[in-house]
Amino acid sequence: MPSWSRIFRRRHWSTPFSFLTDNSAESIVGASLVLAGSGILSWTLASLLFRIGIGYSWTEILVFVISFLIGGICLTLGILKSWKQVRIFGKSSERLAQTSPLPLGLPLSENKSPMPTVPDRSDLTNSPGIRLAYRLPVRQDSIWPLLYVASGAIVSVCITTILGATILEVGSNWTALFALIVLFLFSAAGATFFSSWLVREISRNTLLAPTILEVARHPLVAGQPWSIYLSQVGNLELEKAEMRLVCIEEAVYNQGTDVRKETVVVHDFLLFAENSAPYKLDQDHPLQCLVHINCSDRLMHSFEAPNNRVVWFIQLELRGPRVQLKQEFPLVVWPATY
Amino acid sequence: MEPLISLTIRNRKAYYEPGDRLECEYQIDAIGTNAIEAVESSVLWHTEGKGDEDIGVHFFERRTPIDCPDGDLRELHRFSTICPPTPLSYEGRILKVKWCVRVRVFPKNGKEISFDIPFRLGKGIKPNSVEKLIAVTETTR
Repeated sequence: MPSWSRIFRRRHWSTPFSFLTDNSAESIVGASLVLAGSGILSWTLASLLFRIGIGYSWTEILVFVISFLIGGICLTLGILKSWKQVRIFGKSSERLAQTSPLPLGLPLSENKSPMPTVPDRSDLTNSPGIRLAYRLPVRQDSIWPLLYVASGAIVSVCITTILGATILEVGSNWTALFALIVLFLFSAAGATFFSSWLVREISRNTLLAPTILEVARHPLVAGQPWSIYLSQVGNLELEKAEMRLVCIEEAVYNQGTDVRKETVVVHDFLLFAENSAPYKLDQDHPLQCLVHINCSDRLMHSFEAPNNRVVWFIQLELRGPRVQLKQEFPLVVWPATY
Repeated sequence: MEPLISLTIRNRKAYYEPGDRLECEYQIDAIGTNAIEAVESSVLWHTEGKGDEDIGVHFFERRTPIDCPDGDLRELHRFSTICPPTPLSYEGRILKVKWCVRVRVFPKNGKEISFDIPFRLGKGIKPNSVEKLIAVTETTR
């Protein structure tokens, strides 16, 4: 006989006025856009009607066209925003999620993925391995470091040019001497930073060949054994070589008008470490290892939702006198119940 | 007085494995026969923690008076669904994935109310557990 649970907690409730409270900002924006768009269009039309027969200059025509465009865009956006509010009015979050066009909101029967919320990374298995089944691709480096360096270089060139021009214009006095010292210090700092970055990048690309990381199967299924093969060719002495299996949780949240992301490492398993450091790496002595692991069936599977993720990857860290390389090889973990 | 929702999982277990059937039933009291506009029942997961909430609906059913022979939505109603393979219940550091059965009642007058019964899909995964999750069995150089 089932035991009845009576309602004592009341959560997730909303009133017909939730439209005004929960989404008040959206509603205000929508209404303001409708008002602004209507106002601009009305003013433009009224101006056009009053001026009929008088004739228009090109400037006036341009102003009317721009006004029409701005008014039309505002009105359309306002109507769309208001329509969105009207559509969600009085509907529960479950009903909205269920009818959402997002895959996550679809019921299981309509969801094409065999594992809802587990990312479908078939792109990770399109490269066959030599020793094991698949060669994993490395996660591409973000473009931001390159952009930072490029913007730094542009700013540096601009400042150097301005200082140089100031020296040439002022001539030989104390101001020029001061500008010359600043110019020298700034140029020296800039040159040191950019040359070291360049040397590091060139060393990394010339002293180390692309890493080969192969896996026996993909995705990794919790509770089942797994094998990983690592091969790194290069021409340098390694001070540190470590391969880790890492799991992170990622959370995206809104704080005021900012969208922030927090990442926490929840698992960090050492799979392989080269203990005989410094390890001489050359053509005849590549860094090679084949690691067999057993995973518990209580391993969390990969998870991907719009604001939250559980991400697994293999991290390889190599460090030498002139080179430091940290690479991530993403992978997907399926639950043991598969 | 607000309506009372009596919701239960008929085959209650400590946890459900993917593929298990989840059988639920609900009944609504303390409200007039024709005072209910609609009743929604759903089986869903949602996230808790640092990030903004994500929600995924696995099963959803909306009933209105025309769906019942006598138009009375208060009567005992049963529904069941097969548990999906993922996402499994999870209690991480900044992320929790929780499953629940939810019934939401929309009265013709007054505010809507809902009631949840949480349940676990999978044994429950905690990254902080002392159990050794990964063991290197062999390394060949």
